Amino acid sequence: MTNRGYEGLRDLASFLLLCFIVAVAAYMWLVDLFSGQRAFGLLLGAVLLAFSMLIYVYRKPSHGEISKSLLMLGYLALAMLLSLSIAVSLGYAA
Amino acid sequence: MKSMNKKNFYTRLIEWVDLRIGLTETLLRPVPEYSLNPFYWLGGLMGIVFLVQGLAGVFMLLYYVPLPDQAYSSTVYVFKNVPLGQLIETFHLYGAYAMILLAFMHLMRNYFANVHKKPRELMWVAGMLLGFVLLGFGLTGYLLPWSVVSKSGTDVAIGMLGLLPPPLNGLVKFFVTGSGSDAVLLRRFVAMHTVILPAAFLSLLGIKFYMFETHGPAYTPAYIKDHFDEVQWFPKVFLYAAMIGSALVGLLLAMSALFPFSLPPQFTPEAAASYVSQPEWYFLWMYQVLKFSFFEGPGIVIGLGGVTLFFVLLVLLPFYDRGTERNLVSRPLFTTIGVLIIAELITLTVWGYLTPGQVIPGSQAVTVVGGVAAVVVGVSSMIFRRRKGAKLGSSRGSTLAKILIMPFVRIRLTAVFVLFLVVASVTLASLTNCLFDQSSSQVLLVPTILLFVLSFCSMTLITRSLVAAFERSERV
Repeated sequence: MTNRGYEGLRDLASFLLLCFIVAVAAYMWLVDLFSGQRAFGLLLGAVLLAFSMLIYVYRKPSHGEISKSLLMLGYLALAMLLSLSIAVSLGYAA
Repeated sequence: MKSMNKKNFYTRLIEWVDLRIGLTETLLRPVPEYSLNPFYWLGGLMGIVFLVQGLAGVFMLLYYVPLPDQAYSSTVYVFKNVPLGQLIETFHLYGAYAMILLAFMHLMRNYFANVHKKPRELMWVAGMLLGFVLLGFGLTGYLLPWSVVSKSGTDVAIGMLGLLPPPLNGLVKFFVTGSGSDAVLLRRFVAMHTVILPAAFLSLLGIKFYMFETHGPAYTPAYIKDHFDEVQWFPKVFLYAAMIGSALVGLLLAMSALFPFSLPPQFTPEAAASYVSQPEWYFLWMYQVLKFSFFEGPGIVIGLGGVTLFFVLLVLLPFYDRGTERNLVSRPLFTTIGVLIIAELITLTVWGYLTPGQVIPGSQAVTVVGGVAAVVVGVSSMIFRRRKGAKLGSSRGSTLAKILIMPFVRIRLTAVFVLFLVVASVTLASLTNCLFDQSSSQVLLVPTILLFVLSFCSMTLITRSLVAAFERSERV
């Protein structure tokens, strides 16, 4: 991958993660802290994981590039946490 | 070209912060880049979880009433009436589990990496003391909800501590149980959990951190050192800590939300009478040892003495393991003991979980504990004896990697080995059952013994063949 392409991938990934963090953090204000605490926990977990991924993307290791498979795994985990929080909110995962 | 040289938003943000706070001017020493790896950060992760645990603990302290008749109701109040109460309580519990697990992994990783050699002996001792403080956190925190599970489990643990040889039992009575009333016990446990132990933990952490800054990371093999640079604490090390720390805390939060903790019934003598008391999982191995029939009655002093001796030997490890050799492959005795400790602790913990409240017959204890020891020592001696006879390569650093890839040299042979391993495990379990369960059929005893011996011998032969095949492939 060319340097410009690699930098573009990093920028895109970090932009997506930042959008995710802002959107989920904004949504968390709307969650009821009594009845929706499980959904809140899952969303907060997702935000922290996204923050961790953001740092991973930002850090430029001296040896090797950012692992795309690790990044995909992270995105999958985020999608799973988001889906679980929706399921918990709707009462599917008691 | 202009866009290539332009600093991105994050870099500018970090530089802005650094210019005002001066983080790059920190006194913390730079670390080698290869140490930015989770295996080098098990202790660091434990420290991060400790900080978050402190926050969760302060939150719970706002509502908790340390009186035997109100402790449970105040915990229930947090569960039902406080925003995020159940989530934070569960997180505190899982955080404690994570800390204990990380501490054990950190201990074993450091044991195998031989970081206790000169001049880091006292770092090892400080780390061990930190581990004891952590177990103290677990013991004292477990009682606080005053549920039937926590009170009964704590009673078991206190009973065990009370049987320690003098003067330790006197110290336990003075510091822990006091006059013996529930109110005094709870008050002391709260004081220890919220003030004394955190102060001890932070002091020891500070001392250990200071020594780390003085000596730096232990054991930097030359072949690694040559390929990696040192990185400054800020921003690289700081960002790495933030990255793995937030991932771990996020995972713990998600686990807490998915599997919320349900509070067991309140402690009453009636409820406790119908409940089989069992300590928390991290004390189960010790509890299981003390359930062996030969440690019943007056023999318990010997059992507790043995457990105390195990801890004392572990703490004093740097003072009798004084050789300069650090490569675990060149240290067969200590490597085997390390593997044995892990295998026995896992076996005893699982066994303890499966046999709550049961006294274990002495012969059964000898068979299982001795069986695990025999398998570990047998396999280990085979590998090390073979290795001694054959030079597996000149590079020390790559020897372990070579041994680890040995099972993949002949996959089919390895598969047969695994098959015999399964047969040996099943026969060992059946043998134990046949020997000690009078109702089971004694007819199968001899064939089971034969099958076990056959499997063990086959595993030994396969290991020899694997080593030989590996050596041939090395020569080619």
